[in-house]
Amino acid sequence: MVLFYVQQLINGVSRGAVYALIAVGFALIFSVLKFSNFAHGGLISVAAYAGYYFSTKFDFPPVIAILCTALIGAVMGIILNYIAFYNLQRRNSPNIFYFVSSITCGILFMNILTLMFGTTFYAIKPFFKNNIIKIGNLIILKMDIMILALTFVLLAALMLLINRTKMGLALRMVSIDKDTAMLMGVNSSVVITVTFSIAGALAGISGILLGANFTIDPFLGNMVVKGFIASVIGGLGSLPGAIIGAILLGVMEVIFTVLVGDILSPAIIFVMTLIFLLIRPQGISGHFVTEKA
Amino acid sequence: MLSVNNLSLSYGKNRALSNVSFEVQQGEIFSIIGANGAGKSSLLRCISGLVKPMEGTIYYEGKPLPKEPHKITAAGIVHVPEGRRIFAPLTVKENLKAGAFLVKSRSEIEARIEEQYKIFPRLKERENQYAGTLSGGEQQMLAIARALMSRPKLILLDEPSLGLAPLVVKEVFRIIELIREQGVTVLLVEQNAKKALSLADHAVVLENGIIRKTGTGKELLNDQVVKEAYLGAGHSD
Repeated sequence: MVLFYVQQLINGVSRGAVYALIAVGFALIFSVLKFSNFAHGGLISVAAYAGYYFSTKFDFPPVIAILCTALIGAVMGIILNYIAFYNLQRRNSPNIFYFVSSITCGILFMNILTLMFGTTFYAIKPFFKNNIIKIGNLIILKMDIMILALTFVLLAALMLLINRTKMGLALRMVSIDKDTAMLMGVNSSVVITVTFSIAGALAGISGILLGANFTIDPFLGNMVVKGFIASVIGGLGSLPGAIIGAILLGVMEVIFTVLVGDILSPAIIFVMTLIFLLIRPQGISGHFVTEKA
Repeated sequence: MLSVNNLSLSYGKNRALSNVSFEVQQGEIFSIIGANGAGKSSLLRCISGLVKPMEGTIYYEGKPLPKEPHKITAAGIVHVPEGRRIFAPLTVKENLKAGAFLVKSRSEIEARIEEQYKIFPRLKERENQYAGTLSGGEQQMLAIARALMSRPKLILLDEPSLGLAPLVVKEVFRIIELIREQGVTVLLVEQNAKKALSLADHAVVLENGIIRKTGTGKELLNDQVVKEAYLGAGHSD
């Protein structure tokens, strides 16, 4: 019995690791521009198809396929910023415009994919021929280990970038107070472009990993909702909070699926999230993030 | 050094500045006094590039001022905004590093931080504290120190004495003089008219976005109209 729960915990953590990648990309944009970027889901969908082409059609090895997808994601992120948000920044538009623009773009991307590929499901060729490692009675998937390791490396690199580099300082300055950051000599449009490219690369990697773990359809990107929940639990805009929230969400999902089944588990998780937010509206990380007026 | 010509700015239908012109000389303290909502902060925001004026030109060292704020900072103009606007979630030291954002060399940044600690010993004591935990006076000192980190030629100070205890106000004005002694030109916006005028080489009075009076600090200090409107008549000492 204990073994069973250990197994579920492992499954939950590795599911949470993918959510963490989504949540961090999402939180990054929120911390800099103070809006919830639902177009992130559109990027994830696009990246999943790109990942399908790289890994299955072109038969690239997994590492190369992931790198290429990350690159596509980064480029898409920059394009997204220019088509959806650049003019809003220039005109100092209210927050709600960003929100609407992001949802619109997310839907647009997914529908373009539907037009191109139909609603048929695509499957990415498994990354590993023999995916299973057995330790006693515990089953660990190589794919899960890879996802965990990749997530850890990526997030560590991101933390280093934010806390140790000049670009990171600029990013933090803009996220705290954009006007004052500009007065210190920060070129905010460069910072915003870099932020979108990082978030896009993270969306790209989460896209191919989700595609490899599940099957690909144009609406795979709606998984961004998981990232959203995770970053709300963690405290909007906080990167460490988003990671913790994501792992927590992954574990809860797996455990509730086992306990009450597939249908009831999302409902229970939503209710628990609501109760949690009633008690602690600022999320785990504990800072209130004020939305831009 | 800085010449502002016929500057006009509106927020929607509200006129913030109309036809504002003045010239700041190298090495002086130039004060802009006026009541709340007179357009003082809008004027500074135009100069630092945060808002675009609708009409008028600004020349800096004989050339048109660059358009974007980061280029204006790079050109040597630094703006200490109203309400200090320090980066509260960063430490004091990180705030100072932020001020030297355009400086490449790490050792140069460290040297400049030490330089600021000499002027503001209090900041050294608190270097690893989050800036948001400082007192109002300390935050103002940090905001000024942060601005000096870029070694500006012209510093724009927006209401540096606002909301501070009298003793701290005195200290702030002492530092403004110190900044000028180091060869930095100071453009000072203040509600505390008496202090601002007694420091100033030249000054203007801004009222509803229009320049009402121009003169040397001394002239305005002794001007009957200014006395009555801004200095509190009968309380001169």
